Amino acid sequence: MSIKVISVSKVYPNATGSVSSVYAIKNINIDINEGSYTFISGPTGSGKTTLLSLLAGIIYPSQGEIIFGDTHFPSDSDEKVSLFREKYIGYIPQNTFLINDFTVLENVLSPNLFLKRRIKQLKSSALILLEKLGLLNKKNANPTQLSGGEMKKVMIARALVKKPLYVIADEPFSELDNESINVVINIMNEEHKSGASIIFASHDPFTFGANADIYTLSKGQITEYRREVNDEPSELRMQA
Amino acid sequence: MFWNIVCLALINIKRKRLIFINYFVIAFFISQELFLINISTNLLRFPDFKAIQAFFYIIAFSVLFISIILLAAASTLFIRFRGQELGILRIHGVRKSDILFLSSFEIFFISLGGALAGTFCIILLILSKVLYLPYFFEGLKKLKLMKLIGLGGQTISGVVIIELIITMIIVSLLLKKDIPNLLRGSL
Repeated sequence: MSIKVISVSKVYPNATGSVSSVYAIKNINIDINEGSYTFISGPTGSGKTTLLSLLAGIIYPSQGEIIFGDTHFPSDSDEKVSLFREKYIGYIPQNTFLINDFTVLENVLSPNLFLKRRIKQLKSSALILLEKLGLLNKKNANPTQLSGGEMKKVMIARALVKKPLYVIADEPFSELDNESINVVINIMNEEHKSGASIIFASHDPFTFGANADIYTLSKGQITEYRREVNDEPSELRMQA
Repeated sequence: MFWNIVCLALINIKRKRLIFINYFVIAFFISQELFLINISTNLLRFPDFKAIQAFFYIIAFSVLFISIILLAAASTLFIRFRGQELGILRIHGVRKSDILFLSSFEIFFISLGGALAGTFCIILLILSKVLYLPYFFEGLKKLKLMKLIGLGGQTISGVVIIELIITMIIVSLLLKKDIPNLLRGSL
């Protein structure tokens, strides 16, 4: 199943509550296919976060429509869009959002306790992810005891633990050192090989293997689209 | 999933004691006032006691009214402190109905605790004659144990229902905010 973005615009209300005429994004048309790599680049304030939030069903478009299978938003109910997020989306926000009263492991597991899955299964997946991210020894630590990069890794584990079909990551490498970036890239490549689509926005330069769609945003509009195609396997690498 | 949510509710109460203590204290006071109203209605039936009964009603209903306003304020604070947490859950696909389900369990457990403690304390106060009214005391002595338990149960269920209804109204109103606003805590 692909995510189809059809003539989508988003206008935010201003501080007084009235809708401003400034478009965060305007008239965007994108098709994101299952199993693809999609990279969204652009300067600060170009609308990357808004576009990713729309794709994840976290905010709804002011105009246009986003279609995923039989889920249409904004026309579908919140219940149906929540189900879409629960089943298919692993979202990694740009800012750090963790529950400070919970341990690292509980933070990874807590949003998934509402899923109809066995907690034992989720727990073992969470522990594997934490081990890959080098956080296994901190699984019982409180988020306030972690560095910014470690918190980011916890958010990455939390998004990936349910094995989503689409991983949507907003600046996933910010606050990470080069070694950690490579670890995260390897995890994303593994997810991609197991069939997940990876969509992310970043300022950092990356190179891609085959089937990578690269969109450049500026002032809320797509100014450039290119598809990187070469014979190398489809995987993400840091640019030398 | 049901037991996961029940466990999460109990863990939340344990970890976020400072937020939930408000509910406990309010349930403690509401249960005392409700018990006084219930017992006045049952024991002070004769025309001679009309004035005393009216006095009790006024005091109890005033405290009850103030407690309900405090409860609404506590629920607003509850969501404000937990906005980010609820936003995180919503990002990962947790439905509004699931959050209401979780909140209702949390409030049920904490208000049950507060109401039990409050009812027990007011019975002790009456029996130890701190809150001394001969009619009460004489009446209580004649009151059968089952009736007393019935009054206590009526009080406790009343408190739990009041806390649940008010909290659910506030939580469902505030859940109308979109996810970015919940995450920012700007309610």
